[in-house]
Amino acid sequence: MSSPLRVDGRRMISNLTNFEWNYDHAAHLASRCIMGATRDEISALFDIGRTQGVEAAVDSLVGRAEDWGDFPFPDWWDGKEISAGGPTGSINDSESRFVHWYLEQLHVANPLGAKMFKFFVDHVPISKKPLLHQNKWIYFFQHFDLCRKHSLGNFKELIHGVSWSGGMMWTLDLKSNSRPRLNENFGRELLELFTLGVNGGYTEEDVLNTAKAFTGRRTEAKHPEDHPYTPYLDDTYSIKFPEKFYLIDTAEKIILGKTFPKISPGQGDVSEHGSAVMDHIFEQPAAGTYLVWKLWRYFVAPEPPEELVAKLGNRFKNSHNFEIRPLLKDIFMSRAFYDTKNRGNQIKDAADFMVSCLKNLKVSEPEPALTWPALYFLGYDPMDPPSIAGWAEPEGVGNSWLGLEKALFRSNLPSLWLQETIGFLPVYDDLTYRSIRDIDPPGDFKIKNIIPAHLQEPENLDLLIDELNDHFLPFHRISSKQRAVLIEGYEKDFRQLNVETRIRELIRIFMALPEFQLQ
Amino acid sequence: MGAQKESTDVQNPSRGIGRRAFLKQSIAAGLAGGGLNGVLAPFAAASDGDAGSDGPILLVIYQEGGNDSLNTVIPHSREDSTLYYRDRPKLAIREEETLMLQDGLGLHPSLGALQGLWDSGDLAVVNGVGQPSPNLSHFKLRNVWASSSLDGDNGSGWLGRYFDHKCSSEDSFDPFVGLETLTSAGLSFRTQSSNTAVTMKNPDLFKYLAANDSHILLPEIDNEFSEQILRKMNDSATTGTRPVLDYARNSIQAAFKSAGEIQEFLRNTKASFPSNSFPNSIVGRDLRNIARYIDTGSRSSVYFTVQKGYDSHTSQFVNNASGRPLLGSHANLLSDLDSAIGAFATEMKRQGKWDRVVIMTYSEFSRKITENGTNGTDHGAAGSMFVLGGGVKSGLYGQFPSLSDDDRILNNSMDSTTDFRQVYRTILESFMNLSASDAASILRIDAQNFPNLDFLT
Repeated sequence: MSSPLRVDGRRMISNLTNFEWNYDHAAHLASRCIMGATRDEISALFDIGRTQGVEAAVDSLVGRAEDWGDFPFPDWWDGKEISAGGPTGSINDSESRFVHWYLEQLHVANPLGAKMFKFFVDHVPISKKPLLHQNKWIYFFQHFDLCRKHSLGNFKELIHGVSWSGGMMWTLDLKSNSRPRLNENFGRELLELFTLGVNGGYTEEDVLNTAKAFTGRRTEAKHPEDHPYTPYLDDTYSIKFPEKFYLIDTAEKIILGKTFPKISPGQGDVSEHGSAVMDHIFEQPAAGTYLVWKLWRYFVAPEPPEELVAKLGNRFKNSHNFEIRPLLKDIFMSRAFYDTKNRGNQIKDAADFMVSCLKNLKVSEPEPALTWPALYFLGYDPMDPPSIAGWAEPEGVGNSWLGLEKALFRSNLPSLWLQETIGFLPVYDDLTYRSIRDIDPPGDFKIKNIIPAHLQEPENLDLLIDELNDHFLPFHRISSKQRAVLIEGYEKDFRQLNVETRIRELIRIFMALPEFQLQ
Repeated sequence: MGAQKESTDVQNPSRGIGRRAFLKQSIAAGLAGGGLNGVLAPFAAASDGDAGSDGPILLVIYQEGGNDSLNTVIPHSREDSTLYYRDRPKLAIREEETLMLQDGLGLHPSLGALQGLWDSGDLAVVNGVGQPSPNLSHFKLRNVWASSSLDGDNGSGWLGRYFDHKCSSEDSFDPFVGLETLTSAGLSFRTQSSNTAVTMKNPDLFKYLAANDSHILLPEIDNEFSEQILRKMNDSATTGTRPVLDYARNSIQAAFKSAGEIQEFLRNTKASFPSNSFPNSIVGRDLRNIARYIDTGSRSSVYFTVQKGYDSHTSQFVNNASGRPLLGSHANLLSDLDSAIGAFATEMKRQGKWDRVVIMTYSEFSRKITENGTNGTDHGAAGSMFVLGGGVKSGLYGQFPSLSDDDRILNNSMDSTTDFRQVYRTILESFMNLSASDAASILRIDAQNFPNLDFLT
């Protein structure tokens, strides 16, 4: 049978039919849209598709609202208490709390919204490194808020917002880019990483002129007049994004084939200057296809089919006006999404893996001081991207989320709940914020939450292994040889352990298998 | 004069890593039904030809972000040097401030250890290194360098293909064929198979939960049992159905297999191993760790590490008390790199291995000839790179690019005179001792068009 990707374009973009819909489709859709998708979630999705059709199943994911109102900023978000040595303690302690706040949303918010929130935090990442002052927290909360608000919103509006995000203005030097002091950093990455892609058809001249078009934006903090060097001790400070005319490159410039005329004083809001260029960038065909290409890699497979990307990109730009929901619906309805070679072949990234642990074990996030190092050693510090290109992209063989050190850490992490130990988390001098040795591991895992009581009886070992298989590896059936290894281990190696401990060890083994790394 | 070469006994690195030794190692490191940590005898089997005994040791240091080459190898007194001073009114470094090389070039004043290695005949400076029609994207060029292909093909890395080549005739792939001190596996090390070399930033983390780790709830568990069961589960899995699953399984198996060895490295660190000569920075600690593995008998022939922070769009320099731009982020990075390389070289000499070592530095691109408006420099193209080691022929290689306005490309960037794959070829052929055709095949080049640069003895 020929691959759907190789046949004619109409079939390639054609949608999966209600007639074809089966449990494997539901499992695939769930595992890519819901971090740590559980059996219950897969079954529910399957039932909706079976009774109401594929579109209803997709809509049940794409259509759900999330206003993020359940995840307000903590009261220290403006950084005032931190600078004053307030109750949140050290900066590092606050970073842990910030990361915990973020992880909680990935764990319990609307799943597809959370998945897209994570995508955009990666797509337009900001770094804590240039933000050494108290405004860091304001900028970080505002930037993440922007990403989550547009997670199922509008891509173009998001990028407009990003060009005014304090965190991004610091990360890419936009706040110091001016006519007399030109810096191309933001202009280049706006074209290359945020909108058009490296093959998006722009030239070095376009990079230069885009940088010129985004001159003059500034972040400013108003300090209390009587305490010029000790800001934020009271309520008088504010953050502003003023545009200063004298800092703006007003000359005529040609960007991506369009001439932007010289700007004269008195022409109204000068902030329209960069915004008009931004609108023009979004007129380019690549503005549609680039995000589709990247989303396909994120949700489906590392090598997106070109024709499909071109078609969906065109729809995204010209029909959907850069709205994310209808684009995702196009992707999840397409037959190519469900191609068998795309199933169960994606290695979970750090957050996918962490949320998988939490949902599979039915536990809540560990406390901030443990959440931060756990994610950090999985390779994910959400405040410190490896580069402005974000974290490693989901790829196939050679995936960088699974280097050897991380493979070992992933094998160890479930012990946090199953053995209630933090012994595998190293404490480094340069990572001190509060010694994790002083912290109790989480104790909220209960076997009864995931395994029915009768299956815990030793005589039901076979059924227990089936249950664990279905629970932790919904895509995969272990071989009879592997089953024999488990039975032997349970009956021989673990014989000195009590039944509950034996089951905890079996769970730990399932979660350390390569199959658990995939979705 | 600078440091002397301690050994005249230049080894022929021709044998590389012995494939037989791989097999022996992987059997020794396999489960074999015994206890886990106890049975591993990581270096006992290191045979003649392993890096652990007398093979070549290549250390690649990637300066991530785009090193400002013109302020690293400084053209202070060349025909077109006036253009360097014209276009860098704030950033330019004066002749008397540089550390002298030759032919009108000098090193940044932070590179004192490198100058010592130049004086002792151990430093090759390769100038004008780049590629045809470069794109000035960090990410594109990072992949171009890592994969040795102009399209930045993500499929595999040049060192990964070297590993495949070394292990091609055995079923068993030895993860210790190479070791990178990264948290995420890099493209340079990616093999064409689903095998994987060692990626390890934090050796303390590189272990399966040990039996003596504190168990608050379950003190009676012996983790070795679970580890054995896991290994058996993986050994008895069906393979060959899904490449990604095979890759995940290989990674996990390789991780378990190498974890015991790494912990042995740590336990076997010799009392004589110096602890204070390396700078207390990330690259300093990484190079110190690598030197420590080598001291302990690591059989890896390739090490890879990254020094981050070179993307100097802003505040690249700070003026010193005399108003000269000799301090700041770029100077700090170079100084850090210089101290780390200097300490590493000293340590290799102490271990009597300097003649078996080649260190290569590179960055994805250099920066523009003109400074920008924010005391920094924007993305440029070709630049210089360093190759160091006991077997290196000191000197300048590759033509230094012309700075004249007519010869610039892509808005004031230097054009290349030397292809980066020539440097790779020279190392694979003259140091790792591959045939020209094997090197060309690994690098995906036509050997005739990428001549050996002859900077190795």
